[in-house]
Amino acid sequence: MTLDVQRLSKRFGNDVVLKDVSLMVAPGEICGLIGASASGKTLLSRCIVALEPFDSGRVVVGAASIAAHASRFDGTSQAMRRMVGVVFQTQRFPGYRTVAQLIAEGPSVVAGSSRSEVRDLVMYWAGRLGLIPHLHKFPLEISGGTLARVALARAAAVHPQFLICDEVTANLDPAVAGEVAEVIEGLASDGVGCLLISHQFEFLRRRASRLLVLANGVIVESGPPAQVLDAPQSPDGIKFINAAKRGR
Amino acid sequence: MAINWDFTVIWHNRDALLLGLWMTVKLTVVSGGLGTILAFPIALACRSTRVEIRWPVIAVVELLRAIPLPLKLLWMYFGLPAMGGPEFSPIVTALVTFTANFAVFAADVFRGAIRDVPRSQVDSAVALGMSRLQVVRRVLLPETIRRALPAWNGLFVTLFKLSSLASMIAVPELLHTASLVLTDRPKPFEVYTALVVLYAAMVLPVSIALRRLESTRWFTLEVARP
Repeated sequence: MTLDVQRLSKRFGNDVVLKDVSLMVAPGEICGLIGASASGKTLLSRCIVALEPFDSGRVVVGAASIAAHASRFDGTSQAMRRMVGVVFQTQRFPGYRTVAQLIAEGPSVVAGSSRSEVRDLVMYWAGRLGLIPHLHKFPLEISGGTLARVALARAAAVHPQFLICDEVTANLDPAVAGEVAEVIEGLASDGVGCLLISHQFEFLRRRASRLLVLANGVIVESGPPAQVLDAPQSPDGIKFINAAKRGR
Repeated sequence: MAINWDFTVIWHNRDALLLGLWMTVKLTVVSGGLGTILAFPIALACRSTRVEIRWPVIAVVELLRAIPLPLKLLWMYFGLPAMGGPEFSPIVTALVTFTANFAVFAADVFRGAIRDVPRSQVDSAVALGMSRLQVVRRVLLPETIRRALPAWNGLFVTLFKLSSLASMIAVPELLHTASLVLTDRPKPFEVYTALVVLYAAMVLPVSIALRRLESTRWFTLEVARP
């Protein structure tokens, strides 16, 4: 089973913001997606899980499939979200729920697991992500890096087959970003297919099996990370990669 | 002129006054509670994307907000039966009117609070797989309650005081009981002073308790991931 995005297009009025985007993520694979700000990366991830309706194309995962103009609470959209999790770049947490409650929310509310199953899941994911010491703390009491791990634990605890991570390590210092990236690597080796939107080029070079470059809503580069990063082919790809390299 | 206070009038009528106070408390708590419960769905309906739901609800809410509360009471009690409508007891009339009044004003507070719930928090709940109802219960409701509490607090305290308007249709609440006491023993200074003390003694603790609630952990709003 793959996460298969087929010729997805999205317009805002006359503005085409995503144009014929196709991509495929296999189980256990890390597929990198990079691109300048406002190139459509976040919008694409929102479209894949039907948070945002799109105008043409489809998203297919196994038996679940969302078509153009599907709204967020359609049955097919809900089915898609059971298979594909997302961790957003900007995310707000209710300040009145503890880390344990935040991780438990998916299993208990969405999956309807029993109390003991929920407790086991929370302990398992908190253990894996190094959150045990923080379980009874509130979001205000923990650091940004820890919150990023909480967001990952929340998404992972409902067992998605695929996970979209939208710049989860942006705004984190390199050491903490590295830890979070390791967690994502661990998920991938469990068989979770990851679409990783990130600016951690070195991590992507090392670990991603493929790298896509999105520019103005179009996938302009697609291939092995080394090839995309070192020898981009398209004018937009060259422009973005060179600008990104100069920036560092 | 010699000052001749006689507070024994209060003591002699203590049972009647306490019953009146109890009626005031019941009116306030019941119509405040029911009004709050009604206000949330009304607020959601006011924000519905479906015009056939949104427009009628907004029309009724705006109409009820535009009419003075005493007029609403009089219309319900005297106006409605006069044109062949149902005739309710004074207490029921007051309860219905206060509940409706509180519901539309609280709905307005909730509407603003719902608008301020961060979209990202709703989106992340949806992305986790929650249904529409679960998003309402797990995100919109708790976030709205917290955002609306300070304004709701003000509305509730106002309702407490406005409940004295029920005396216009002879509901035996505190103010009405006081006027009955006064017809018996004309001691306006003593009786009304006692009322001032009683209202303040009821309202201030409630108001202070709600203020303190606002600053507890339970009322911390969202924390953004950096």
